[in-house]
Amino acid sequence: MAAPTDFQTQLFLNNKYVDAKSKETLSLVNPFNGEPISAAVQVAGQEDIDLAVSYAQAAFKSGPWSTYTGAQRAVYLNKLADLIDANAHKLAALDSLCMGAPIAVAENFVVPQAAVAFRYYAGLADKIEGDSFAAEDGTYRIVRHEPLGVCAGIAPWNVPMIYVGWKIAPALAAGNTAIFKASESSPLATLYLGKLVIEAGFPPGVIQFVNGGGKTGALLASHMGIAKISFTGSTSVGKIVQKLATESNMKKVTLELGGKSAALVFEDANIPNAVAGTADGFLLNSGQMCLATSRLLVQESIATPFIEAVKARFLKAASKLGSDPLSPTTTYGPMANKAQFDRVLSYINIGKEGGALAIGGASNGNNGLFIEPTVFVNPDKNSRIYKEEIFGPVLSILTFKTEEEALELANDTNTGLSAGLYTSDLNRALRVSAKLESGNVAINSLHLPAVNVPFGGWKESGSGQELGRYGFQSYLKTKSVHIK
Amino acid sequence: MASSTVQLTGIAGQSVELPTGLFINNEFLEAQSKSTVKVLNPSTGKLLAVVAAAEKQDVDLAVGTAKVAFDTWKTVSGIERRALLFKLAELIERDSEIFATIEALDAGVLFNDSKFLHVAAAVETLRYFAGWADKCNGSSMPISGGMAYTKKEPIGVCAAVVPWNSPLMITCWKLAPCIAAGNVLIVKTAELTPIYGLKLAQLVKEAGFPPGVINIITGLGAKAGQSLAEHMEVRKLAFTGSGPVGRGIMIAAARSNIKKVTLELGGKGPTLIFDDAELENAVFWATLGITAHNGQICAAGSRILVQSGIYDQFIEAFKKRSLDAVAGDPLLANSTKGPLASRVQRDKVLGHIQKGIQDGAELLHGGKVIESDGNYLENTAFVNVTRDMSLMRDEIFGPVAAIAKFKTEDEAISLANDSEYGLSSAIFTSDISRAYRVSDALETGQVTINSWGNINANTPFGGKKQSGFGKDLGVEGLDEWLNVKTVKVNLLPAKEVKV
Repeated sequence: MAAPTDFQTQLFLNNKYVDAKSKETLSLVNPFNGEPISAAVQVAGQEDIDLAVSYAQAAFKSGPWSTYTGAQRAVYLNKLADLIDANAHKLAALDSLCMGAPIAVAENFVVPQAAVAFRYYAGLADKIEGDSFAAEDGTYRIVRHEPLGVCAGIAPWNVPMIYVGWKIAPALAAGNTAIFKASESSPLATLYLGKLVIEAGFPPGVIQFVNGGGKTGALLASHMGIAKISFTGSTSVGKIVQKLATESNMKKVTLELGGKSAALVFEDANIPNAVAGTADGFLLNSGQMCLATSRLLVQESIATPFIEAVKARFLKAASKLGSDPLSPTTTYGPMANKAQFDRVLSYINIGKEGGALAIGGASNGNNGLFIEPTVFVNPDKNSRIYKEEIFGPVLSILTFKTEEEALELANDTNTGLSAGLYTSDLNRALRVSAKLESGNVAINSLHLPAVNVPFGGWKESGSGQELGRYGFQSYLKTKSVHIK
Repeated sequence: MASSTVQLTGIAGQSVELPTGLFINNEFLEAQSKSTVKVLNPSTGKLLAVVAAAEKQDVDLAVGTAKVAFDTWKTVSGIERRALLFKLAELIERDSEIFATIEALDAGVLFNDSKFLHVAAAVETLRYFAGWADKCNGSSMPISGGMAYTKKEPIGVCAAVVPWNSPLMITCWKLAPCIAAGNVLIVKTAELTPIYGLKLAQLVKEAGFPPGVINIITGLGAKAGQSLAEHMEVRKLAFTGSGPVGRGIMIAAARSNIKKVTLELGGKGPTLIFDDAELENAVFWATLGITAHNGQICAAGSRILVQSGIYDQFIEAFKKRSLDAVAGDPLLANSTKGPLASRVQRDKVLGHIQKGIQDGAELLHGGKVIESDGNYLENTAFVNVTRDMSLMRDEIFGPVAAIAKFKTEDEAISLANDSEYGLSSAIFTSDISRAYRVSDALETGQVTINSWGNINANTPFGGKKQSGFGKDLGVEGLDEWLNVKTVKVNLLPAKEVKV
């Protein structure tokens, strides 16, 4: 299909698209062909963020939104869900153009998941319940759950539209107002949502979109008027966000950071299923997923044929390299931007020096930012490609003899976002999943977050949870009232 | 055999045409015995419609289709159930004036009360429980030697027997959580007010519910209701109505298959007005509490207990307000008082009034029939009613207030709790500590402070003592329609690994 050309490039503040006061703009590049995207997206500076926060505060404290019941808020959330679904193709195309995701995946999975989140949380908006305690000591006690205020969300470029649902829906269902910043390399779909926000009927200031990179993100993380920030991105930037949040006003922080997750394949696994999950599943979004199981641990007894099967799947994916992400038949896209492309290639070169390259390892020359699905077998456990998150189509495979060894290998990381476990033995499944040091474990499939259960990382993969009712609670605070 | 239709005419000539059959498996059918019931307009006494009345064979058919439907329905996701409930809410909202017309003509509910209160509450209830449909989750917990988890499962084939006073709203109180929880449901509407059920049935089909998931039938309590209560395949029955009928249902449930039962059986709501109450507010709500829908509300504030310091002022204002009612056609906007739902009900209430007079209570105002072809009765109140009088003890379900004076808070509480009923109560005071103290002491399922009769989808409603058991609305209302299954996994030791 032809690339979309009608872009929003301003900031979306108080239900209007307005020029930023800062004069900086973003340069967007189509990762499929390296061409600039003619959208001079405006960057929000200090004054713009101050303005956004004051609108959001007014909407929260005294605007119509502050008077709505949960059931009334739900109506708007459901409307926005319907509008996202109705505009899925347009939104998917805008994301695809910016960051190279295959449009079929963007349109049929990623964008609809945003609507799924809005509908899920709409159903909780009228179900905020605290506690009440009898006056056994002469004092009645009520615990109220109240919204926080202005909540900021910062999203990465890998599945841009999903974060709109994950960060805005629970915030609004809980009665907060939201300011959202998409990644500087993939702002267009998010920015387009301003039109849908107006069409859905949200009062001004309830949902606002700002653009920019790290500097704009830092302004949000440091702002004295923001009550909570939810950040998804790299661990190193997450630590900065937490520091800025603490040093400013101790705003609440939720972090969804990186992972170096392991998939464990035992000899009694259903092999075709395990290959699908660990090979095809790993290549989802060209490996650019925080929850990617980029360390594949295979039991020795089945390792040789399993590794061959994984390589075969990777080669099959590679055969379709170079296809336009905006084409509906494309299944494998490029790296999302040049910086990521360079990063992944440099890791691959490090790995090559270690001598463990099995297949792949190359980019496809001048034609966009494609990198071949790449496998390293038995790399040095101390090597950077094995220890550090690459965030691309680069898989390290190790073998293990025993369950204990598998667990030790899997847990030997300062990350803890996701884990995969393939076995047909019920006991092993329960035993091993209990011992994996990870916030999420998928048994016998690729791990994909589900809106009704919390998604959060252990160790340096993050703090707090998104999704589910736990995610909802993180947008509320308690007030204990003692009545004599 | 397919059924015939009825046509109703509302205000400004608005016309509604509805099939008159039993809604089973998404079709409107005649009763197999061709049995019918006549439906009268309580404002005019005229015949409104003749509709099919279900008997045992029809109930068997309905239950049979529900059981078959459940086999597939139990595989439908919570998200899909949510979407269907939202759709139904949207359709009811779209047709709110049609429902209000029907409730005005058939049940004697004032048109604006129906549209803005009852129908709106029905829609709010559906939307509230829709949001639970995808959230009926259990818990997980460790146990020694393994792990355990609970599942919240639908019960299966359920039934709801609903009353004639706020027919659509109370039907949705049962339907919404029942369906959200994943059950299938047979609704038996009251034979006095079946017409809204026919319209609701059309919308159930239009919303896209698969056949058999929601069946809506009407019939005599003694026939259709009893058949449901005795049915071996119905696993839960929710009933809202009178005490004696509720008792019969509980007995039939025990004698048949020990089906789960919830009963909402009415009340004798005490309204306590303390000296420090804001008088105008207390008068407004206390009057509404016993005159709204002619007191035909389970939560009616039918016992008004007034502290001596405020008594005289209250009585004067209450009487004035009670008499300031314009009795007329419920369809008309300027009517503020409609008829009682039936001639039988009117005469029952008259009987209570006679008894009150015989027992020596002093008539404050009212007591007489308002002459017409309909079932109109004056707003009535007695003062100096003592606790042993029938006026204080027995539910009248009419626009009759029993008023007593009290001196102290303890006396008020004692009087209020001296009842076999325990559904709802209302307190009027400006003292926060008193409000908490007294609401704590009152033996009712709901207490309202400085208002009366609030219904909200997110707060549970249901009584104690002989007002019944089980809750409608709120998350507790949802739990009534779920069974908990506990699953425990014993962890066997790891197998030896051949190296």
